[in-house]
Amino acid sequence: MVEAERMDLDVLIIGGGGAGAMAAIWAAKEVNRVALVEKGVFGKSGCTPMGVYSMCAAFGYSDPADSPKLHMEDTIRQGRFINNQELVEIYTQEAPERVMELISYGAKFDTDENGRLKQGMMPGHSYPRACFFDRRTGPMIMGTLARKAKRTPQIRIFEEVFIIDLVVQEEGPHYAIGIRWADTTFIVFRAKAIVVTTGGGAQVYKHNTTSLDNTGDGLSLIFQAGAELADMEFVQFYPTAVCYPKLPGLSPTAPAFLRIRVGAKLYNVLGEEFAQKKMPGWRFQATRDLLAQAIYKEVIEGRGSPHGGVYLDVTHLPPEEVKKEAEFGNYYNRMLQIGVDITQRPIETTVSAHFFMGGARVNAQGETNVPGLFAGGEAAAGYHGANRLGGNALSEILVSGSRAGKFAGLWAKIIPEKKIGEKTLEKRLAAAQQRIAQWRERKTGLRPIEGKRMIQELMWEKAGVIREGHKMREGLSSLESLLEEGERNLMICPEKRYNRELLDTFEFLHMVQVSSCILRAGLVREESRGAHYREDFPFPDDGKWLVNILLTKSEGGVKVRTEEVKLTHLRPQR
Amino acid sequence: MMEKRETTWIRILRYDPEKNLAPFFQEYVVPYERENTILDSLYYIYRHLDGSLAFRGSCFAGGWCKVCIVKVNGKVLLPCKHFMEKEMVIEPLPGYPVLRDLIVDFAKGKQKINEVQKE
Repeated sequence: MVEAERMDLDVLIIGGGGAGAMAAIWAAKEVNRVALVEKGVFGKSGCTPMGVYSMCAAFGYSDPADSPKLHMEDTIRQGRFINNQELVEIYTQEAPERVMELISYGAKFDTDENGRLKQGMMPGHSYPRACFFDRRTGPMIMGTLARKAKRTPQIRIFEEVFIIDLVVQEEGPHYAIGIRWADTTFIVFRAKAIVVTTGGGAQVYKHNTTSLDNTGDGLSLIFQAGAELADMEFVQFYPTAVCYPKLPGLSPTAPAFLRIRVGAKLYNVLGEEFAQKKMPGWRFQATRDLLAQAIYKEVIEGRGSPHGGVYLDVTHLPPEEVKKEAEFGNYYNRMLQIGVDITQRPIETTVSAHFFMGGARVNAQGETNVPGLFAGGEAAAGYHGANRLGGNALSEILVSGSRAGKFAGLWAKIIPEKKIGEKTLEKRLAAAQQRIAQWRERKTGLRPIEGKRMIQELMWEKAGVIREGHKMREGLSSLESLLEEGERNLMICPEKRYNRELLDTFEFLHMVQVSSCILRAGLVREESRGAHYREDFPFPDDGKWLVNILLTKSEGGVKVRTEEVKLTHLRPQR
Repeated sequence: MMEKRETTWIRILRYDPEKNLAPFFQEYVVPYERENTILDSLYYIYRHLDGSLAFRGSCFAGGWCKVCIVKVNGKVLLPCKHFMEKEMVIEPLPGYPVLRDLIVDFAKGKQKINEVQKE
């Protein structure tokens, strides 16, 4: 028997960002034995703390005409009708309640003179509904939720533990095999229900705006455990991310603030304002999918700026006005500190992978097709369709996280205590142990960091902002070779304590899985819609493609099926 | 004539409590890129020179996650927020037990990690 610490649980949450913390808090209202596993430092790692500004919820404070119904309609329309409309309805209705719940845990938001939350305008929304806390909304939310989770006695938190394998069983319980980064020892969680809140996997792209942790671990784990993934072809590219100069100390998405709040000009190397030309109201109307594609076209067609972006310029505005706007979040001064005076010269900005709209296919209870396996947050598909609106992530993770946690708790309540499946678990543990030993013993071979870099290059080229069938096929076959090489040749240093290469190896393997799902789904969808733009099929085709593409693991491969979207609340207008 | 690339000389205080009797400095020479951060240079070492270097880093974006906190040339700072210098001595965050190399136990410090003053 492989030596491993054992833990019996009602609910295990994998991934400690905002959705995971929320899931743990809600699961703990139902059951007593809840654990949250985070591969980094809980409350700090992941993508939630990187949320800069907006968290959308239709309170209607800024304009009483706003309502959850209108928020739902915006989300579906801008999601290009790929969303699960039932999920969007739940999300937009519950978002204000969840924001109030956060406030009850001590969250702080910017308020007006009447003490009501300020609400800002975001592109693609029809009303101002972005709640915010300076430019630190994400860290504030994560800090609040982490404190709440740590003070909840039913929740045990495991930091710097990464889950490498799930053993699921029809009748339950499920097992999650974890490794402690501190000393490479195993820890096995037996849980009646597992909630995956590991976020997306934008790290599979060379240019991205996310935390290094965002490697699609949970999606890969549940896919291999038999869960269905949906909408994996839809990866959001952020249109105006940092390009040049680098802005350490500001978010990778910081330039967007100049675009939306200040009213910057966006132009190519010839000085042409291409966005303005295509869409005069682009400042508040151009959603991320359209703007990213427009910018990327300028770059690949040779009209980009020297560092591979386009120019974002506020020098035409009175400097005093810019400085006043840029007091917000201390942007102006921080940029000045690193040698950039935005009132004097433009900056270069570019597209960068930002968010997965796709993920685990879940129902309204956050359940996947595998009984007892749940997902929430960015790891769950259906909320954002083919394109996510700015400000919808931070509020969606609260709703989907709380629901997945609650229903996982309810599920765990009705599942009897069982101890079956130990034999399979032992086999998988032994296999994992043997694999790690092999990686350590090799003196030459593929270092995981190099494998990761190869994936990032490959995905950027083959499944990036602008896609084509033959390129995606090439990408898929290169990935298969890379995986084969990995299986034969992966090599890590022998260190037992805090071995970054060991963590990188598992992330590499997860990234291969997730990347291949993106490519497979991308190949199936022969049209352009939202974030999925195909040069060989440049137009949307509602007649044929109002479907979700669903992937499951099958014997020796991947099973692909499509299912029509249920247009229960809103239909595209002809 | 080939242009000589500028370099940065980095000394890192390393320690594995299971293997070493005491902490020791290890030297690395990496290319100097004025637009790269100190954290970029740690990552450069990890990727190109020494896969065994242990350090934390999550957001890599300038001060969001704050887990990369270390001491550089005597100052406690977030290496993701500062550009690299020509000579750097990098040590773990003082006041916290060292778990390995630049990784400390945030839970066992003299003060709360969120309250540590940093540049």
